[in-house]
This record gives sequence, structure tokens and C-alpha cells, in this order.
Amino acid sequence: MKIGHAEVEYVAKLANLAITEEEKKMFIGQLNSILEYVEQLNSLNTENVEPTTQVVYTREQNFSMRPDEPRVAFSQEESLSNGPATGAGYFKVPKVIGER
Amino acid sequence: MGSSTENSAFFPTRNPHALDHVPGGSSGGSAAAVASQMALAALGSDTGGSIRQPASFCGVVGLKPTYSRVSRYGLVAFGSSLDQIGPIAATVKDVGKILGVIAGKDPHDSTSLAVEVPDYLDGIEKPVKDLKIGLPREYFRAGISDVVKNKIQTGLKLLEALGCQMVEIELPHTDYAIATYYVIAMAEASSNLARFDGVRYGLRVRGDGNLSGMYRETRDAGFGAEVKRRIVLGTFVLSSGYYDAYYLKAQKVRTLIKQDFENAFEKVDVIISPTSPTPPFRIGEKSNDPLAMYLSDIFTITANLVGVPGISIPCGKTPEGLPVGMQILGKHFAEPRLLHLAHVFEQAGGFSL
Repeated sequence: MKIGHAEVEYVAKLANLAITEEEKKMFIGQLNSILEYVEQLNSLNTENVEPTTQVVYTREQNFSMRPDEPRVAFSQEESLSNGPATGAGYFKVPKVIGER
Repeated sequence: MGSSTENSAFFPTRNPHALDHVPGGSSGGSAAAVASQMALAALGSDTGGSIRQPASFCGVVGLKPTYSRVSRYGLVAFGSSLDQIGPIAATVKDVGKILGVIAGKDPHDSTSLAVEVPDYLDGIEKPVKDLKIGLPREYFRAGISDVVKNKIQTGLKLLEALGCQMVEIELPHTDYAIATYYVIAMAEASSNLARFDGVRYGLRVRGDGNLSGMYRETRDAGFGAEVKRRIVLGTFVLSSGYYDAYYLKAQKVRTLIKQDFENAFEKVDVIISPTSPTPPFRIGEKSNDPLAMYLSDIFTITANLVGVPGISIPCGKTPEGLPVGMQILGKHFAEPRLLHLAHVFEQAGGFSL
């Protein structure tokens, strides 16, 4: 088994996920069967194979480059307009620097 | 999320052809809206088949364009190296028309390419001559239900009568595609979905008053079980100590799968398969077994891994009246060829075989 209680808890913490005991149990079973299935990739020799991250053009082509020029983007007001809590031109979040 | 809409944040969509069956997913709502004539056309997003499989299940036409053909600006990113937006409509011509409108370079999406957008309806009425259709040996051997196999074979006979030539081809790494896809898709999803943290948009749950509590409780309340499962797995395969074994390995196998397609397209013009190995399944039939659900994506996910375009077109119905879909794949930017062949098939009565 690749994933046990400790791994699920560790990964959930990395991903900022709260998961219930019930979900934990369910995930452990399901994730192990998925990972077991994924193990088949190890039967392929990929020693001299380059990884593919982008499918349509090569790394050298990189069509996404453009001159770094100032452009009109969203105004501050628009950028904040979907925020669940905003004020004074900022997104508000719970206290980060505090008593502890 | 997923191939049935049963994991919808709102409620499951029903298949207009059989209300106790799923419409496919994840863009099952789009396909059902078109199939039930609530909409003339709809957009879907396709990371592993989410346009084509619901189009197949709902008896309509759905196109996943070449990766980079259509801007993804405004789309909630799921798997950034896989996602594409595409049209769903009742006819091939409608799909071609909408593609012409949405395709092209968008300064807001740096992955969209400035490749010329042709008139997708140009020459679409011409007969198809000497077109070579590749039939992957691996696809036709793997667990396709008899009724789907039967319909696709009838469709292929029609294409042969229309002047196409059938060529058996090999895609030797097919068996590894699902594992490769899920590692890459979940890794990218876990990273993309990190932005849903309750700060800049969307839901916020206050939590116990500190920042990390707010993150955790917001994400707990906002994500369903399927999404959480994918985030946990994606985070795991990207985590230190497992990255090389899973994520990097999958990216290397992705190269091998891409090479399979490059080799195949040296011999043939298009590749045809069923869109889904089965007709639509009943609501609740598969939702408890994620792996079984993932396995049903075998024919659609490779197009996303390789970035090639794929169209799903209706290819008759089962005796119970459930739609069957045929998928046509082409080289990068071969949308005109896919639309041409699909239109000729449609005009020859292929949709109602």
C-alpha cells in the first residue's frame, strides 16, 4: 500500500484540504487502487525519452513570448469586485500575524 | 467533474434520450441542452473527452479542437496542458461555423496560437476520395460493447462505400494512456485548483479565525468528493519523493504516446474509433467506482495527451434507443478534414444508421 493514513493527512495538509475520517477511509482504498493501476507505467523503459509538457510546439519554438510592454488590464475596482471580503483597495483575509 | 455529471455541484443532468441514463460528462449539460433543442449550440470544455463523450451519449456533434486552437480565457483551468474549448451542436456545419468564430489567437491566453483560421465550411460538400482511415488494432480489441462495435462497423462500411480506405494501424502504448492521463490530469488539477482559497473570488468560509483554517474550511465546503480525490492524488504524485516516479514518468510515457500518433499519421489521414466503449449507462451505475469510470475514457483521453483534434458524431442508436458515437481524430490543426469527413458521413445518413 502506497498511501496510508499518514500520507493522506500529509497530502491533505499540503493541499489545504479538510477531509473527514470517513473521506479519509474512502480515499485510502480508492487512491491505492488507482496508484496500483498506475504502476504499470514502470514496465516501460523511458531511460532516453524526453518528457512532454507541451504538445503543439517544441520548447525552442515557444510561441508564447511577446514584448514586455505595459497593457491595459483590469482596474483595481474590477479586480476586487469578485472578492468575498474587500476594503480600502485590498482583499481582506483573517489575521495572519497574531497572538501566536 | 467526471464522465457522468453525477458529481455536479448542482445536480445530475439526465440524458434526453433516456431520462434514467447519464448524458455523459463533464460537459453533459451542454450536450443535453443541444440534444433536447433547448439550445442551437453550446460550448464545452474537454480535458479528457468532456465534449466528445457527452456528445456521443446525447446523439449530437462535439468537437475538441487542436490544443491551442481556441482561447481558454475565462475557463476554469483544470488540466492546463490538456484543456480545450469546443462547440457542441446538432449538425457538423453548425459545429464548423462556431469553431470559425471561437478559433484563433487571444492575447489573454498565451497558449493560443496565431495559426490562420480557415473557413471551416469551405469544400465541405465535396466527396471524400482516397481518404485513408486508420483503425487502431488496440482500440478495437479492448472491451467495446457488442452493440457499439456493431454500429461503428456499419458506419465504417458506409465510409468505405463513400470512397474511404480502411487501414489497420498500431498505437502500441494505448494500454498506458489511462494511467498516464490520470497522473498528469490530477497533478495539473491539484495545482490549478489551489487558486480556490476563498481570497480573490468564490466561496469563503470563515473557519476558526486564522488564515489556514479559512483556506481549509472554504475548500472543504466548496469541493465535492471527486474533486478532493483528484486533488489528493495530484498533490501526492507531485510531492517530494514521488515526483520522478509518477509525474515525470507519466510525462515521458506521454512522449511515447505522442510518437505513436505521429507514426500513425504518416500512414493514414484520420483515425476512427468509437467515442465511448459503451452506450450511456444508468444514473448511479458507476459513480461509486472511480477507476471503472476512468477506464471508460480510453478512446478520448489520448487526443488530449497528444493535442490532436477529435470530433464525435452520431452513429445510430442501440435497440433501446441510446445514441452511439463515432470519433474521428486527425493531425494537429486538421479540423477541416475532420469536419469534411463528418459532414459527408452525416449527409449520407450516417447519423441515423
